[in-house]
Amino acid sequence: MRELKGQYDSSFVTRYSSFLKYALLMLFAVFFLFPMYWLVLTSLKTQADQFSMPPVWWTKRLTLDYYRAIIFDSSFETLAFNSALACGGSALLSLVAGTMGAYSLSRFRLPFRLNHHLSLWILSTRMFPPIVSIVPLFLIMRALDLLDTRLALVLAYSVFNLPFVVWMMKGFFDELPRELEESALMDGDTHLGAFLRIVLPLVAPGIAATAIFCMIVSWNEFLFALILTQTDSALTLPVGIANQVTQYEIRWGVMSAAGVVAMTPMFIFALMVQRYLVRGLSFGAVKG
Amino acid sequence: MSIRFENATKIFRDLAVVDRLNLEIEDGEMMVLLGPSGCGKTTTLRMLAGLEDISEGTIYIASRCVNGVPSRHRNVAMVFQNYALYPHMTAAQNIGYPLRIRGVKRDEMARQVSEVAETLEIGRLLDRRPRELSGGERQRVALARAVIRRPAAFLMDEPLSNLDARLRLQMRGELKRLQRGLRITTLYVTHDQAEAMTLAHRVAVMREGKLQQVGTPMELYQRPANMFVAGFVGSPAMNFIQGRMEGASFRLNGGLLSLTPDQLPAAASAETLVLGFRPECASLTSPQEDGALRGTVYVTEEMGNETFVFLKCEDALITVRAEAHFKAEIGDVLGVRVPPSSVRLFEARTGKALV
Ligand SMILES: Nc1ncnc2c1ncn2[C@@H]1O[C@H](COP(=O)(O)OP(=O)(O)O)[C@@H](O)[C@H]1O
Ligand SMILES: [Mg+2]
Repeated sequence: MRELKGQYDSSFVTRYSSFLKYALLMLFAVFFLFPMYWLVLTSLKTQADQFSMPPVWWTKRLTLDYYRAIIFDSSFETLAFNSALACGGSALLSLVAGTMGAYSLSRFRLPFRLNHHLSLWILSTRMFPPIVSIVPLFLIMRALDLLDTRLALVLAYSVFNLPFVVWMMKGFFDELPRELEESALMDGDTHLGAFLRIVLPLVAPGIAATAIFCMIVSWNEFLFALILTQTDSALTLPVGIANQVTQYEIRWGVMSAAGVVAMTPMFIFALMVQRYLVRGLSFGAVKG
Repeated sequence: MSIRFENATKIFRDLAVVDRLNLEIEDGEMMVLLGPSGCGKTTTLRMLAGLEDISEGTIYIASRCVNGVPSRHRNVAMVFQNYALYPHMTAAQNIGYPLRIRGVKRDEMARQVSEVAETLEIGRLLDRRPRELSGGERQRVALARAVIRRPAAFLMDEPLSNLDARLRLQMRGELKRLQRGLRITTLYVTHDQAEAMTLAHRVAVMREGKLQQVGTPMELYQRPANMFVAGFVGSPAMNFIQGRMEGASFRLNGGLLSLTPDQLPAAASAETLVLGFRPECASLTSPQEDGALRGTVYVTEEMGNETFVFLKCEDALITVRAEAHFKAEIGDVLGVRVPPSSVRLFEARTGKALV
């Protein structure tokens, strides 16, 4: 009898605590998902509903006008293209340079504890807020005649992506047993061959995770794009969307629709590689 | 191909972890490097492999000085303690990797892989990835990868230590057959004296970076050069008792042990002596017997086919092998008869063997 009662008690406790857990998670989910809902809803509402007070929380009066507006607006496509180039270009550049840098830092012993000093120095470039570097960056870009170009954005985004890539990838390389490369060397391979054939395939999930982080950050970046670009030749989506706040009106519908469309690729991307994302981040924890 | 270490030295931060090693491994020979953990065995192997540079001295492979030669040009194959199989490749791809690097054609590679896999009895595992293999199977794949390109030498760093006891014995035998069959020069590193004794043509015993003795397993067992080798080789370990000479005899607690004539001159030259004898050479007798050591039973261990009796003789704990059904209680006083011919004498201060 007592045993039975005990069992009942404990299952009651676990059920209670798991209820609590889910309640808490629901709360968080609502908190974070509500703005998304509001964005999507606003992009579909009629203009009258957008401005009505009290707000319209739910409606069946929906319109696709704003989506039509941005899809047939060639300037939106230009901005999206700029964004994609700046984001992809910087991710590629940072990954190629950063991965090799991280590998060297992880594997080769430099004299004077340079490994340690270099790693910290690379990290330190991320310790100040981006706005601090914007003025020098602006001056450099002007001197190089790169203002209002997509290349300027690629370079600028690489400034903050590169240290991130180095540190992320260094973590993955440190986790990888050295014997694997040594074994490849013994099997007759060169250092570069061992890196390409053994190391890279094994850290591929880490590279994917890192790439996605870089892309999400660059895709959403606002400040650098605002300062370094002016015209359609380099403007990105976040700045373009913000420009819908004009002197005379705030075009909520267009902004929301553009926001939804801009969000979609990153959303799909994250879903697609979610598995790798989790594996990449917990790579060290579940080695083997 | 023969291998030669000439004063090979490795220094890590002022400390010589391998200290002027001189060692020659003959063509086709299996040399086992034996020593306790941290004595520099792995470092020696890695210098030979080219994974660690040589601080001083020279290493020759097939009479060619390989100092500064990158691993890939040394033509030696290595089996790592944790096998170091490439996790993202199947067993077949792992085994074929050395050939792939050398640009061997696809079908020729497949043919050789399946041939080697056949010898090592892993033919049906070729499509699996390392994580889908058991420890013993991984071991075989690692061996196959080393064998496939017929290297000048095999280097093996404690390859059996990750296996469970039964499998270790089985693989030990197979490894020996493989090496004897292929006749490829092998340097095998282990801290397990039983592995060294069973596998080696010759054993090199190391301690704190210094080579202690090189010889066949029998030579090491019968004529250890010093107390360290004597204590390290053979299981259970050799017994040591300190004492001094009294005329033609060795003074022990409660008795005198007479020495053989050829032991006498050397024994007389040393100030203090350590007498060593192996547990399997001594026998138990009554404590009253003349010239027998007296000891109190500390503990007994029945192994099934034999029984080991541990006795306290003053400060020393000694081991004697008795037959399977021998019975004794803790605290019993027994005599130990040591035949003079089986006794080894060591100088106490240096540990060097006399005679
Ligand atoms: N890369 C290294 N840096 C400094 N000391 C090392 C390094 N590798 C090994 N050692 C030291 O060298 C000694 C011998 O190591 P090792 O050759 O691995 O011994 P074993 O294989 O016989 O156990 C140990 O004391 C170890 O701490
Ligand atoms: Mg070792």
